[in-house]
Amino acid sequence: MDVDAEEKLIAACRDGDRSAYGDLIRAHSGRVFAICLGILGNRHDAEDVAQQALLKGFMEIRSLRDPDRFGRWIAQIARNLCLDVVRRRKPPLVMPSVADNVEQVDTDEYRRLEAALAKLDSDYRVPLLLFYFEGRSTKSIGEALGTTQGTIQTRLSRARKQLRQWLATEGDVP
Amino acid sequence: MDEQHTRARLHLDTCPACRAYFASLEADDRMLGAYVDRMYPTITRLQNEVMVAITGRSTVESPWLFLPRAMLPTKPIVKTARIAAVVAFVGIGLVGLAFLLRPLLGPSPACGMDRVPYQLRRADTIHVQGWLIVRAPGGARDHKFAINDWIDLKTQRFRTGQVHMTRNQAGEFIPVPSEFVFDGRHTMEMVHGDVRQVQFEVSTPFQAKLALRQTLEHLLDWAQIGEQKLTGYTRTGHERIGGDDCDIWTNEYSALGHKTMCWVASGSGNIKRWQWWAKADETVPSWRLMSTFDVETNGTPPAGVFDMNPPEGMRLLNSQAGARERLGLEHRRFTLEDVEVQVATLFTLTDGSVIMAWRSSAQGREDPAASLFENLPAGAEVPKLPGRIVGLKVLVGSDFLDEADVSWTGRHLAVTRQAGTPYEWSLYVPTRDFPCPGGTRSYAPLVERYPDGWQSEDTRRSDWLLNSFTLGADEFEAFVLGAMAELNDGQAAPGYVTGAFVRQLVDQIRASRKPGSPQP
Repeated sequence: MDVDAEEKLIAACRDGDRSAYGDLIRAHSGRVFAICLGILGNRHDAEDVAQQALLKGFMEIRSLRDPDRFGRWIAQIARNLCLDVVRRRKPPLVMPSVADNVEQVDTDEYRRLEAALAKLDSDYRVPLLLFYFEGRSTKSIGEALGTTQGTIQTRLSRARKQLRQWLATEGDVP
Repeated sequence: MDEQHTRARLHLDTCPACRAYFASLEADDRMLGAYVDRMYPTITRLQNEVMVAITGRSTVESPWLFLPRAMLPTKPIVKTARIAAVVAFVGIGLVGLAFLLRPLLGPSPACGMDRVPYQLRRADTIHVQGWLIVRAPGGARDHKFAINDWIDLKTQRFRTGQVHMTRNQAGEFIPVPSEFVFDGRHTMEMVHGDVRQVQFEVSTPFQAKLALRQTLEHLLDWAQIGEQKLTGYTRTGHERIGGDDCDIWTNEYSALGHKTMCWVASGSGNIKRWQWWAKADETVPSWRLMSTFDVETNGTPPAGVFDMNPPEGMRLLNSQAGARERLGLEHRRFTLEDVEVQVATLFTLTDGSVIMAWRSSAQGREDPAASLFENLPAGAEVPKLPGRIVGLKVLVGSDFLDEADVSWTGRHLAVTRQAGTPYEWSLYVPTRDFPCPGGTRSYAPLVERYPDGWQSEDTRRSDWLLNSFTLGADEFEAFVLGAMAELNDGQAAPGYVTGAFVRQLVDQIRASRKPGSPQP
């Protein structure tokens, strides 16, 4: 989405057009979810916190100073919420859900990959997921995470290497 | 870039080490790409849930509504599926639809429409007849249901319908209609699903009074004609219906792609017809009629409409004589790990304050309640039960989204005990002037777990929704004191609790917020 279109959507949201926010989150929910999944390490918590982040974004959109920085701003909200969860180390609310019923049956391979990703340090997992979820450049990920392109490249490389090692072993991910 | 690409390709052709590394990257990409692909349904669901919370409709599904079920039967026969945090309920006639049609608030209520809720509340009987189209999320076809509801306010009886959205074994959403007949004491719930079955429940006089009032308020809320929903209506036409000159009032929620239209008799303020229109498709600008019904007030209910005889062929789960007792005033239940908080009932006062009864327990913990309530004065901090509702917030998706700065601070008001269970009655006072002229307001509870102090400020889940109608000036005794008596073994409210006492306490709490003021 180009900057002009995004600014118009943000202006519409600020004027109370709730549906405009749908277009914004279509463009950014992948990033938000990837960040949450990267930090929290499991998809259920990630989905929960990503939802909070996107809602908080809508509630507080009037406080967004630079409309061309929505992506970074919502990403920061997501990171802060995730860090709150990590700090509290409390499980999420126990809410009934049938979400699992509609998801695909996990294969062993998929489960092993998920376990490996969960085991990965979040410093590696977040850029890795952003890279694949968003198809973002290492430069863009570096900007989003407040670090350099070189650091991101290093982390991506190490993340892949670590995953490969774990997945090459038989049985459960060590 | 092309030149770089060509050089890289040439290098790969001649360098086995780099070729192997590149191949490993491609393998990583395939593996992680497949992982990400599997996450996209989650992201789509996430987008939908957020948009449902904000606008009442999903981003990709056909518009549907998401609403807490009717208050009438506390334990439905049909176990309703939940989609993540959002529960989809579609009301026929008297319940449902409110989230879908939440208006975006405008500057002031339309003149003429403000008479409508007043007239309906003072009617002896209300008859609503028409139809409603239901489309399940992702559903291939529409389902049309008849509406034929009666509320007899004079004799305290009603017959209403409702549709649950649930899932079948294949995971598809299916609408399951049910009907409720209430004869002033018994409720007969008839489910017209794959399995057609009937169940009876018996109410106390207070429960019956509350259920009737809630049913009426659901009608107003659902049809967007309660006091909280009148903003945005404009007069768009004139038509004669059944001998009455009617103004046509329209409220278009452009962001949601919906509009409601009301035909209101210009002489009396009685509503005669109601319609709900939706854009058939986001890409098609034409409107489609989704529901219409005519409204008749003070008519005579036909013989047998409130009869409690189940239709033939329905499976009886119990009989009227063996009806299960309706327990307490159960309203909503929240769980925080091992801690459970149950809200029994709540009422909004016209100054915007809320009185709510709730209780809390924790698995494996000793009940600390007895000591907590000893010498606890009205106006004190909400007692430290295992889970406690310390305040209320504006619910995301409610009408007051633009009023997100308002919250309600809780203080202890009273305690009642029923069969050994203490019910905390808390008074929640808005942090600024936020009067409520009438109608239904929705709140999200601020639940705190004790002793670790962890709080849930969950303002987005519709299944954490707390709905409350607004008490009229003369209803404090009937409903607040009536509910206190209902939840008290002594069958009486604490003697000091009166409307005047509560007003005084509200004033004290407000005054105490000023810098340097003593706590109440």
